[in-house]
Formats: sequence, structure tokens, C-alpha cells
Amino acid sequence: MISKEHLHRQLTPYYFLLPALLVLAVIILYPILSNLAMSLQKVRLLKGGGSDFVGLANYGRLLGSNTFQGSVGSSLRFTLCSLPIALVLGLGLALVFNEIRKYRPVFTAFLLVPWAIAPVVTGYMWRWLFHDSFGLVNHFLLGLGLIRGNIPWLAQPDTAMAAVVVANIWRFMPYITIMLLAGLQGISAELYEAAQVDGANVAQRFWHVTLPQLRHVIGVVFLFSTIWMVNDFGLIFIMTEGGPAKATQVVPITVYRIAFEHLQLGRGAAAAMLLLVFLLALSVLFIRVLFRERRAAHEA
Amino acid sequence: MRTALFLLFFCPLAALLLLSCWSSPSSGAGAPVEVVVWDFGGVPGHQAWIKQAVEKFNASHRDIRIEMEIRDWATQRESLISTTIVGEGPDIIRVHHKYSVEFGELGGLYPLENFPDFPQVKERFFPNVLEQVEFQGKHYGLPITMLPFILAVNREILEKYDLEIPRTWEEMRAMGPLLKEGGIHAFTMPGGVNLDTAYRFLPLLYKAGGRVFDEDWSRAAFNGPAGKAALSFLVEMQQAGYFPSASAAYAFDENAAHWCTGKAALSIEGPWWQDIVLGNYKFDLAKLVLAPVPGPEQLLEPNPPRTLLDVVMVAITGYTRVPQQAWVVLKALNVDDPVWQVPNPEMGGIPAHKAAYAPGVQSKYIGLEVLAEAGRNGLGWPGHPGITEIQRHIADAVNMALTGVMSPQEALDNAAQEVDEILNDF
Repeated sequence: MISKEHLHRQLTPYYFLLPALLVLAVIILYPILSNLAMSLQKVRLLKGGGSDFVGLANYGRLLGSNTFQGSVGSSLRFTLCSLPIALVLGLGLALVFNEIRKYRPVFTAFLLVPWAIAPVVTGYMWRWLFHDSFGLVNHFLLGLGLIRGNIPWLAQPDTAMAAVVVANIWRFMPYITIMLLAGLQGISAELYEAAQVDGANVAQRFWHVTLPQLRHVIGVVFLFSTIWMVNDFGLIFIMTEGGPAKATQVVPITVYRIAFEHLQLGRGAAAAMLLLVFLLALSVLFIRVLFRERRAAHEA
Repeated sequence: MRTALFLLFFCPLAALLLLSCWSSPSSGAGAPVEVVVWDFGGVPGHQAWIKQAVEKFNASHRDIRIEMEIRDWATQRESLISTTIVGEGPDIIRVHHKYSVEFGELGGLYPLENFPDFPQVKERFFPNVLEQVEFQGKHYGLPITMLPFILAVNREILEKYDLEIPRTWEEMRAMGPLLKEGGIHAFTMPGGVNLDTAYRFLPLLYKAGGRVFDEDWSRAAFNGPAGKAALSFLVEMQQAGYFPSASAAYAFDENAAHWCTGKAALSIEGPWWQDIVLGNYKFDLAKLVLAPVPGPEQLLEPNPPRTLLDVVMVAITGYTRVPQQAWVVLKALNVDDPVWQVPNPEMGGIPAHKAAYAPGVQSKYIGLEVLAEAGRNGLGWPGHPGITEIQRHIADAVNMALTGVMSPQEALDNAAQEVDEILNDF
């Protein structure tokens, strides 16, 4: 039989956790449950207010909607185009910064500027940079002889997506660089020395020492960046408002338009729930892979 | 312990409740009644005037005190939704006229017929403009500023190429080749995924005899022959290079920059244009001419050709506790103030007051006759509670056609299907 004192000792850590859990329940769990409930209703904000329970009808209508399907595709294109390029460039920059011995803090501060600027400001800046007749992008490309006439970057579905991807990479690269730089500085110099003694060249040291040691940092950066990019609203909304022809209408913009422009809160909540489920599934998958690797490493 | 806990929670709660009762504006004996005004948007000239007018009013009235707050034009709908749901907020608002229906229906606005002197006040405004704030026989605001859509013309470009101001779409199209040779677009307008696009498409639709809905508002009608012709005209102009292909990404600012820098000769705008092009782009106003929006040579649907008329109204909220005092403030600021006797370009729109167009009134407006004529004959967006959403779908259709993703008819039919659903919902 478990003694009272033993039970009390067992429960003590949970008592300490309780305040934090309560705060989390209020600020995270309640809004999610409330949103879930709303997604099962047809909410009338106007016309006297009120709501009717409609079951999964909002989800059914969303999944059958061309606009929603299109926005899922846009979100995937936006994230899958931005993330690998930002990761590769961020890693390259981190390797360069890792070699800098003098004035590294000054360079790092400069590097952080795009990340520190508000997405709205970034959006407006890139919107005008990509302007067909006043934008610097066309000006430089014309000057270099790479294009023959002004390209209406934000007015064509393909080039508009490319333009928002470029702006997104510019914004995300500093975050990725800083995270990977921190990871690089944590790698023991002894590992490189040992590899050098074994005759490994620069490429081999990078492939067999740097990359495996950075694996977990890259994983975390990948997860966070994916969540942020899939959730991104401000940058794209300011640059293109989801256009042209809905080519850059990512899921958060669709949620915004359904919920706040068309005032269909139930359907908007359902769209937000689908986005949440996708991101949760991705996070759970990632965390499981990460823990499995760590467990395997411990057992070895 | 229990008593201590009870006191701990109850005392602050009771204190808060008492405090909120004491701070109620109408409870202080002898204190002036507070009337809260939310002034949404407004160009700098309007804001300067209203601040001064409020100060003047407060100085001359002991029984009423105006508390004015200038708010962002873009936030008016969200603000109205939340205040209408909660049933608390300002006493007077300055907003777009379309909300007279959306919020009049909900009880969010106060019908002015409740005031005995409203018939006399009503007489001082143009009847077609008053219609824009009417819903089910009641007026939910005073239409103080009208914004008819007209054609802004760069006179210098037309003179350089020896061209006349176009009166029809065919004449606009005919200007294209010559201007294109000089690297100038004949016409420009916002074509992005924003309401500016819908606001430029509608004057073309109205000029061709088209309307947004059918007669009993049961179905969308903008996808009829007039709508198709208007959108096809824009697409043809774009494909021929007479209209910027980048317009599919333009909102108001990009379009204004394009026109003001002499890259296009014509644009569909309104009374705000003169102040905007001068203030933001230092455009030489001697080059600006206004003309009626062109239409097709032959009407495509059996409705009289009109232009789009937008109206800014001031309204009393349905939840105000001081309607009488709000009416006094509303009349003092928006009917009797001398600023409404003369059309002033710095105010952002032309007055809807008949007195402003009396013989002998001197105004700095360029093309005031054109604006006044367009205002007197203009037609607003239909006063439907779902109009904002409907405008979105129309803007999407124009954008889809301009990017070539859909043909004009497909794009309009697609939008009409969405709009029919909205009409059925209501």
C-alpha cells in the first residue's frame, strides 16, 4: 500500500507545474477548444447574432472548395520553395560568420536587421522593390541586360509567388544563420582536429563532422521555420493581398478572408483548425524522430 | 479564512462597479452631456476642420461636450461590428454610406425620422444622395460628402499627341496605338485583389447600362452583357498594351504613381484626386482635366447610363443614450457649418448639400461642374447588407480576367455564383 507521505512526494512536482499548466490552459487550451466549438457552428455575427450547430458541414464545404484547396497548394509552394533555399543560404552564411574572428558582433547585428524589421514594413519595401516601373529589381536587371523590358513581377501568378518567396528568404535567413552559428560554435574543436589527423579534407570535415553535429539544430530550425512560414500572413498580404488570381493566397489569408471579410466565423474557425492539425502533426512527427534518435544514441 | 477570501474578491469588484457608475457621463448633475464622435478616415484638410469645429462647438455649448476621436478609415467595419454586438460605443460616426443598410438593419444605427425636424434637414441635400443612406423607408445617416467617379485626364499628354478627351470606350481604344508608341498607356486603374478594383469596374458597368443585381435583388446581374463588355474592354486594352499589364497587382497608390508620373493618360478617379496628386506627387494641377467616365457607343442593357457614386455619411448609433444631443451635434457640425457651403478640394469629397452649388459660389475645385453633374446623377453600390463581400467577389473577377486565368465571362459567372449564394443567405 502506498503511504500518504510517498504519494505526497510523488505529486509534489505536479503541484509546481500546476500554475504553469493553468496559465497554458487559459491562454492556449481554451482558445483552441472555443475555436473547435465555433468550427462546428454556423455563427451569425450580424442579423441578430447567434449560432446553429452544423456538425462537420464547415469542414466538408472547405475541403470541397477550390479556393481552400488552392490556398493549401499556395502555402505548400511558398514554404517548400522558401525553406530549403533559406536553409542552404543560412548555413553558408553561418559557416562564413563562424570563420570571422574580428568584429563578429557588429556583423551579426547587421545580419539581424531583416529579421528585426516588422513584416508589414518588409512587405511594403519588397512590394515597391518589385514594382514594374519604379522598382529597383527591374532597374538592376535592365541595367545588367538580363531582361529586355520591365517585368510586372507581382501581376503574374508565377512571378508573384517567386517575389514573395525571395522576400521571405531575405527575412528568414538571419534567424537561420544565427541559430546555425550558435550550433557551429558548440561543436568541439577536437572533432575537427581528429578528422584532420585522419586526413579528412575541408569537404569531408563538413560532411562527416559539421553536418552530423548540426543535425539537431537544423531540425529545430526546420520545424520552427516551417511553422512560421505556413502561418505567415503579414508579408504576403502586404505584398500581394493573396493575388494575382489567388496565386499567393496562402491558408492564413484564406482564413482571414473567410472569417473577417466574409464574416463566416464558423468556416474560418474550421480552416484555422485544419491548419492547426497539420502543424501539430508535423511537430509530433518531428519530435518523435528527434527523441527516437536521441534514445538510440543513448542506448548505443 | 472564507470571509477573508470573500472580502478579498468582493471588495475590489464592488469598488469597480461603483466607480463605473460614478464615471457614467450622464449622471453628473449640471455637467455637460458627453457626445462621443468617431471620425473615421478623412484627408488632412477634413481632420484639421473637424478638430477646429469641435473646439468651437465645445466653447459655445455649456450643456453638450463633444469627445472626438479620429480613427482609421480601414477599420470602420470591424469597429461597427464590435460596437453593435456589444451595444456600446460612440454616439456619432462618420463612415461609408453602405453601412446604413448593414447596420441599420441590425439596429446599430438610429433612424433620423425619429427627429421632428428631419424633413427640413433632408431638404438641404440632393435626393439621389439621400437615397444612398435609406433602407426600408428610413434614413440612417446624413450624406455629407459625395464622391462621384469621373475620368481624370492628363491634359498635357493629350495635347502633345493632339488627342481629344474620349467619350466612349471606342475612342479610348483608338487613342491607344499613338500613345503606346510614346511609351504611354492610354488608361490605367487598380486591378489587384482589392476593393479599389471593384470601384473602378463599377462605373464602366453602370455606363454600359449594367447593374450589380437584378430588379428584385434575387440574383447577380453584373455578369450580363454590360459586365462582360466592360471586362472584355479592359482585357483587350491590356492585351493591346494600352493599359498596364502590372495593373493586376495595383492598388490605389501604385495606380496613382503610374498616372501622376505621366505613364498613363486616363484614370477613373473622383474628387479626392486633385488633392492626392498635388499633395503626394506634386502633380502640376494645370495638367489635370476631369471628364465623365466614358461608356460604350451603344448601351448593352436597358438601364440608363450612370456613374458610380460613393457617399460618406454621418450617423447616430442605435445604442446611443443621448440621441437628442447627438442630433444637435450632428446638425451643428455637418449641416450648418459654413464649410459645407463651398466645395473645398482639401475636404476629400464634394458636399452633398444643395447650398454648395448655388450661383455665385466660388470653389478651388478643378472641373467642379463635371463632379457636381456626376454626383447629381450618380448611383451608389446597392444597399445590401452583404455588399462588402460582394465587392470582394467582383474585384476577384476583374483580377482573374486581367491575369488571364479566366475569360471575362468565366470570371464574372464565377463571382456571380458566389454572390447568388450570398443573396440566398439573406
